[in-house]
Amino acid sequence: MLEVIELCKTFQTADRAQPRVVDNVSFSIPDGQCYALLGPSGCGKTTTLRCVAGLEQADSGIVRIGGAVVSDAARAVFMPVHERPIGMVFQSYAIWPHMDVFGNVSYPLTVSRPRPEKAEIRDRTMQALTQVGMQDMADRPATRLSGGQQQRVALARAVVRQPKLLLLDEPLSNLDARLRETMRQELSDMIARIGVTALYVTHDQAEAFALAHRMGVMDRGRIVQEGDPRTLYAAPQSTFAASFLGAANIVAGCIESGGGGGVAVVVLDGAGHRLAIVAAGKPGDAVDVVIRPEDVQLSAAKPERDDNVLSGKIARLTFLGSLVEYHIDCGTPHAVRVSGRADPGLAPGGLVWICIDPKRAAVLAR
Amino acid sequence: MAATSATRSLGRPAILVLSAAAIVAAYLVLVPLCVLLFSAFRGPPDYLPFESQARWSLENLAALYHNTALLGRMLPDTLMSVAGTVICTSVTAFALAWLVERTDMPGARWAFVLILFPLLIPVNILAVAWIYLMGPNAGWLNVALRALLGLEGSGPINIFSMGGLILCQSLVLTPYVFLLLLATLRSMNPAMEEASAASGASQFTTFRRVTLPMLLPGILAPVILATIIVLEQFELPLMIGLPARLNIFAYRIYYELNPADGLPNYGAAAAISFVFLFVAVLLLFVYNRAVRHADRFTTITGKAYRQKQLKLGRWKLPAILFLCGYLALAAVLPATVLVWTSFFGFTVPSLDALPTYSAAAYRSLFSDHRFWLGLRNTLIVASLSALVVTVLGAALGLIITRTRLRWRGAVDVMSFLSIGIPSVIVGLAVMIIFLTVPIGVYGTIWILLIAYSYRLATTTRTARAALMQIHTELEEASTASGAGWLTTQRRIVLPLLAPAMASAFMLLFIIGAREFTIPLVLASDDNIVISVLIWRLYQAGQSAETAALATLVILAVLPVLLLARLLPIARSSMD
Ligand SMILES: Nc1ncnc2c1ncn2[C@@H]1O[C@H](COP(=O)(O)OP(=O)(O)OP(=O)(O)O)[C@@H](O)[C@H]1O
Ligand SMILES: [Mg+2]
Repeated sequence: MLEVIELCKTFQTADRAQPRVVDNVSFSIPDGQCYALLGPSGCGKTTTLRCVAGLEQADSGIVRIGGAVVSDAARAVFMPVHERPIGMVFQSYAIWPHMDVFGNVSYPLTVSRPRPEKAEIRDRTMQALTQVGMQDMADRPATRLSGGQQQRVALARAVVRQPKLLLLDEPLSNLDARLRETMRQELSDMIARIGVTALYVTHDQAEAFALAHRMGVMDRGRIVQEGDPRTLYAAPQSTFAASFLGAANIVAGCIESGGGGGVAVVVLDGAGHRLAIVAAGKPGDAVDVVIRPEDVQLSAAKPERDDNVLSGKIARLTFLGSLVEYHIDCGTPHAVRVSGRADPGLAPGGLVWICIDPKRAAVLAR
Repeated sequence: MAATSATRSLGRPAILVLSAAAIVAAYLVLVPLCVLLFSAFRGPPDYLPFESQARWSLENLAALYHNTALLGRMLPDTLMSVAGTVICTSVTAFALAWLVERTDMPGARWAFVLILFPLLIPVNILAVAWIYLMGPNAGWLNVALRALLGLEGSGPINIFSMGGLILCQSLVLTPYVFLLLLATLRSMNPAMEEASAASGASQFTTFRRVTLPMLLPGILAPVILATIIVLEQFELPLMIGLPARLNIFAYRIYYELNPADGLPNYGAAAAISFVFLFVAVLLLFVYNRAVRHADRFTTITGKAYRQKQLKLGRWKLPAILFLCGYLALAAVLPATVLVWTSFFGFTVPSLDALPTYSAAAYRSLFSDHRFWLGLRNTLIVASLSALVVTVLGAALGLIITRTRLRWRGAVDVMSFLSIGIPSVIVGLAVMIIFLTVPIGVYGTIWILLIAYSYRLATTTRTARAALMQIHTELEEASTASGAGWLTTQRRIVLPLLAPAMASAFMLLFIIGAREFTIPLVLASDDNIVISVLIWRLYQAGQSAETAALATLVILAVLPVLLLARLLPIARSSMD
């Protein structure tokens, strides 16, 4: 449905040469799926999205929507925004204050050519409003809406003309934390129900995980890794992706023997603990081992097996409600973070053992 | 609201300082107003309103009401000139703001600077220049047009007409409205228009259905303000309206004070003022409502870059022609005609004229003691009144935002009211006061200082807006550190307020230096200022000297204009 091929974009400012804001970005979204672009602030997500929308003109690269080329810098093809079959939800919602809710949502229909019948506009608008649960507020002035309601109106407006492609730019970031969680669920349901192809931009990995079929992690204008959420989480290919997708211990080490796609013995820097994990490198390679805090078993008693077990002392613990985060000082350069249940037997200063599941740890070449 | 908790720490020094400021402000604004209202009801006309022989009477109003010849001309003429000017100004200013802010108009930044030009020059200098350009007989443009079209006699343009008056007033007013509209355009969240494009609307539809309706409340306020400003315009009705036999209200008041024959008629002047003050106050209330209405449209704005500007395409040439035409008439030609006239006398430029070059006008100007006196007076009065008004405005701003004193609303209204008081009325009122109370101020520059300082609205509004940005916690932190109210104001609030107040000071200095009406009404031999001197030279037919003085003013203004390029409002859109 959407194909983006080698998209590049630089912003001209008067004097200095600027780095590329979007650097060779390629991805595609199959019909009816949702794709999330995830990355830290300023990495170029919004710019990519705006190039797809046509609000920004790319320097090079091709954008195809539903098979039709809408932008191809090399052949000077550029379809203006209003001719592209898209719907867009803005970060600030951009609800027009001089119209009521109905006026806002029906707008895309009233400006389309040929203009549909009045009755049809009414029906389709009400249908879109019903989809977002706002059918009772059609006459409400747009200035009297809460953040969540504005968000729903923006979504209804974006889908009312049944676009081929729905573009969402951090639609939840202006909501408070609690509402964000509810709306994330609703948004996910609604997108699935409408069955529209969607490109979703966010810096919140939880949103991306909850909404996307596939996602791309962006860093400084490039997509550094792409895949479905589970794979990405389980097998990050860089420490950037690993730490951006959730909490991760990144422990430096070096391959002692084995490797090449099989099990290798990795010596961790510091106290010299050894782990046996599947790794691609060859002996002597410096590596980073990525261990998620929730993939580590913590016990106050010495476990029976002794491979992939590190011993250490509890340096600090942070109570987080449902979970406790333990910082274990086990001789590696940084303390290893482990999340687990609150346990009266585990107190600061206490001796503990941590078991690492080698199937859930990833080894990255450094 | 943020203001509540700071009030508790309001001790005696605070009350003392703030009350003093409020009293001075009330004196500057309200006393002239009251004097004026009383004067309208004091007669007979042979006496000063407060002389002991004068008594209460409705004579003045009755005379005004019965003078159908006067009303029958003054009302339609004033109405026509105001309506015409406001319409022309709004259209021109909107077009300019739109071109500069939203399109790929080349040279937008320089255009911005030139558009501001008429804002900095005394209006009577501009009037002189336009008369030199468009005078029916020898005006440059007329001579050129006659040669071009092969016409004889005078014309085709006659500046001394209703059309000429409207044109000149519009040119004077356009920069104000332009600046206000620019701010409105800037404040609009670009996503509002992008959302329309993403909904499938073409550029034109977006303009019609989103941009324009969203801007409307923001356009209304500048337009009302423009109406008030034209209503108080005095220079052009005097210099262009009078020869055109147009009876405009501001000029009429002056005429009652300086009739062709007989004594000044204070009562009649006050009666006319009374009517127009009423209209101005009415407009102010409409304005206030419009502004409040505009707030309703403030929306959440994400961080947003102003998007790439509208491509003019085939409209580029007409747009450039419009801009150049406007700038020629508003800035370039007036400056040129003045510079030329200062060296060559009032002649149409030609190569033959070059040998007649002479700097005699400058020499005679520099040897004229009125020039040095006027220069000194202008600088003293403009800077002192700007200082007084800035300090008072800051104090009033404090009262309005930081206290819960019961009369703070009244202070707000009072300072705001001062926009609606035409300067000719202030001149008149101050004149009546100091003719009645002879404390030796009349005829000195101090009476000018007192009269100038009534313009409290700008600084009060600026201070108020700036203070609202300064979180009260910053002051509370100072108080909690052990500082008293005065120390907190001095060490925390004033430094934070300073940048905003500095620009307010600059603005008021410019307004003061341009002021013509008040010093003319209150003129004596000792308190002459530059703008009045221009008028005297012009009236005496000394065109080269007039132009030389005007050229000097333009030279003084140039650096300010170049600085204006660096102002945030000039910058943000182009980078
Ligand atoms: N119109 C513009 N002109 C100049 N620079 C721009 C413009 N728009 C974006 N940039 C720059 O491009 C970079 C990427 O911006 P972009 O808005 O795409 O980031 P983002 O990934 O959406 O970040 P965020 O999560 O903060 O929204 C930023 O460094 C930004 O400063
Ligand atoms: Mg963004």
